[in-house]
Amino acid sequence: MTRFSTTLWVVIACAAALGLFYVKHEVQRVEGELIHAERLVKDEQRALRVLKAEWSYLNKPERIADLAQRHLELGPMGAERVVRLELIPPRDHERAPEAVPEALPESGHDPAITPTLASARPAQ
Amino acid sequence: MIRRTAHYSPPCHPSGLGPQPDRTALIHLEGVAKEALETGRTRLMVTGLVFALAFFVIGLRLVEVGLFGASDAPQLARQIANAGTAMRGDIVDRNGILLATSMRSASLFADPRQIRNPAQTAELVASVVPDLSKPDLAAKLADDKSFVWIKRNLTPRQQHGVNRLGIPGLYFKAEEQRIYPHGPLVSQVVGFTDIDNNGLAGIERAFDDALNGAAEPLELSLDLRIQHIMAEELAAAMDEFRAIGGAGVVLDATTGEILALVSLPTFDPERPGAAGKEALFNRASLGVYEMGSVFKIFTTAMALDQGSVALEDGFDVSKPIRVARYTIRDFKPKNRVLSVPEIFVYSSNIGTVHIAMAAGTQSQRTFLGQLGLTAPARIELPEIGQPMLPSPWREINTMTISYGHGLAVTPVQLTGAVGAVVNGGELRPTTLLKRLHGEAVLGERVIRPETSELMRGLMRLVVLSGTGRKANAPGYQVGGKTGTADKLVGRRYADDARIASFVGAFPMRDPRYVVFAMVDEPKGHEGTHGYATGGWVAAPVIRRVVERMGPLVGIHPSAPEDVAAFEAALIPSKAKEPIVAAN
Repeated sequence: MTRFSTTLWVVIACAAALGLFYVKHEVQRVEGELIHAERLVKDEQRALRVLKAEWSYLNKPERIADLAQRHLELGPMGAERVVRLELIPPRDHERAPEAVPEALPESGHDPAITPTLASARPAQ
Repeated sequence: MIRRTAHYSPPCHPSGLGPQPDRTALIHLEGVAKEALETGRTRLMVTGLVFALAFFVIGLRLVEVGLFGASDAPQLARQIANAGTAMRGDIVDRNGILLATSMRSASLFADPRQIRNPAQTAELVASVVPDLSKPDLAAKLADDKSFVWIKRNLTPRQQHGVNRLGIPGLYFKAEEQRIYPHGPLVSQVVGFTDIDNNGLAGIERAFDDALNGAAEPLELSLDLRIQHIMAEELAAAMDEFRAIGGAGVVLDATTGEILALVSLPTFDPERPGAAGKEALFNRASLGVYEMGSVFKIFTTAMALDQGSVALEDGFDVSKPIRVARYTIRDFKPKNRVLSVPEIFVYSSNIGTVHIAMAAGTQSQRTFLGQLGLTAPARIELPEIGQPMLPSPWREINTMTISYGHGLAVTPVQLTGAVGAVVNGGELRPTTLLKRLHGEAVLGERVIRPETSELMRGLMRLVVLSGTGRKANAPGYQVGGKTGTADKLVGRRYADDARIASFVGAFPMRDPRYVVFAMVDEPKGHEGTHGYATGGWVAAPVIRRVVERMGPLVGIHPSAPEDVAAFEAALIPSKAKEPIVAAN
């Protein structure tokens, strides 16, 4: 009985020592990996900063304006080109056949507001 | 202690006990041995228990740390990860576009004693870093020193290139460098830092401590697109009129956020040392100017709000006003009685003086104070101009201030005050920081909503048929007021140096944006018949700015008003039916 328990404890002690050694080794390895990963993260962060700054630099309004002028046939959008969606007449095939085609209102803009003295006058 | 004599067998001797006692003394001695044994056992048990308890506690803690204690680990890991990269924080505009950032940069230095062939090394290095002079560099590298700077803050591409050369004796030192991707466009607001990253001007200085090691970017209220539009249009006007400077402000009248703050000429924030005094001076927030007729907005609003004049009251503007050694004249005299709206729309100085005198000096002083025109603006910049007030504030000052002379304010102050007049009558604090979405902005009421509505009508009329017709951006209902002021040179007003300005708001049915443009010392040309007034110089700037920013900010255009009906509604002499006095 005594022999058995002694053997058992010796075995357990050995196993624990081995286990500890293994765990410690693992921890060291993982730590190494962590340091490596951290360095990669820092490198990436640094690269990100550079890229963000470059992106912002490339988006300089005067540069975009210059590029647009050279490569696009677009101009500034005048107010007369903006209308409300519901004022655009339906396309031919969407229109009921018997419906009389309606003309597009003269202007798709909000009605003008003319002040009235009643509304404009401050109460005395 | 419990005695259990019967159970003990003789061979069981704890060490340290004496030899086996003789049989005669057995009972007695056995009693003594047993007692000692018992004591030993008890001590062992107590010790064992203590140890067991200690191990149990350690075990518990192990389980706790292993299973439950991990909650703060990610945070800890993040802290460790960020520890080495804590750099000065970024500054971004309201849409998140980077205005200032920090970068790890490499500075190149050499140990000349390790360099074998200085001439060849200089040749190679200069091929990668073009802005170095080869002879100078070769001379430096031939020196008998152990350290010479070759170039501070290389670009990443240059660093890569130098690395590829693989020359022994060249080294990099890691440094932190401040980068301004948009350079001169926002330099008056963002400011700049010194080589050690201490903020010296603008937001960089105002938020110097907060920016150091900040993880989150600092969000400004500026909109880079609108800033660009304003800067471009102002620069064009400065060119056209050979002016010495300009300032422009775009303000969101509902929140008090400044969307654009332009001061020209401007400077490159990465080389502030190369800029002149003029370029470093922020005309929009530090410069104080007598604004001229744009002040008639405040005079008219005050008198109408307090009821000191009514809309249909008229004043004779045919004769100049003579006070002390001053004579107050109109720029384009009308020889008749003008009603209050006409005085405003035709920008009559004489009429405005009469209106101001109806309200009184004390009222004017209080009202301008409420509008924030008598105390420095409270925006987040170190460069804030102190308004110049008359002291004492006499009747003659009241007269000249009514049309914008004798009281000098900054463009930022003026824009904020006009915002209060048009937004329904509340002065909201102006800011350069982006407000949270939906943040309630508390304002102070300065005029009644009805007066604000009336002022909007009058300002619209200035653009429809008055002095500000060139500011009319079709569809966007611009309203505003022109201003032309002679500049003080020494103690006298100059004849040929003036400030031309325009302050406007749009859309006038529900003003959202206040736009201000000012051109310093414009000179008229043939195209303007020699005029260099606010209506000729600054109003077109406003029109172009509004036309360009309108679609960007999503303002829905509206149809043109019937000018005659508009005039009839506001100007008593043009009304189709006689107007009955209000009171």
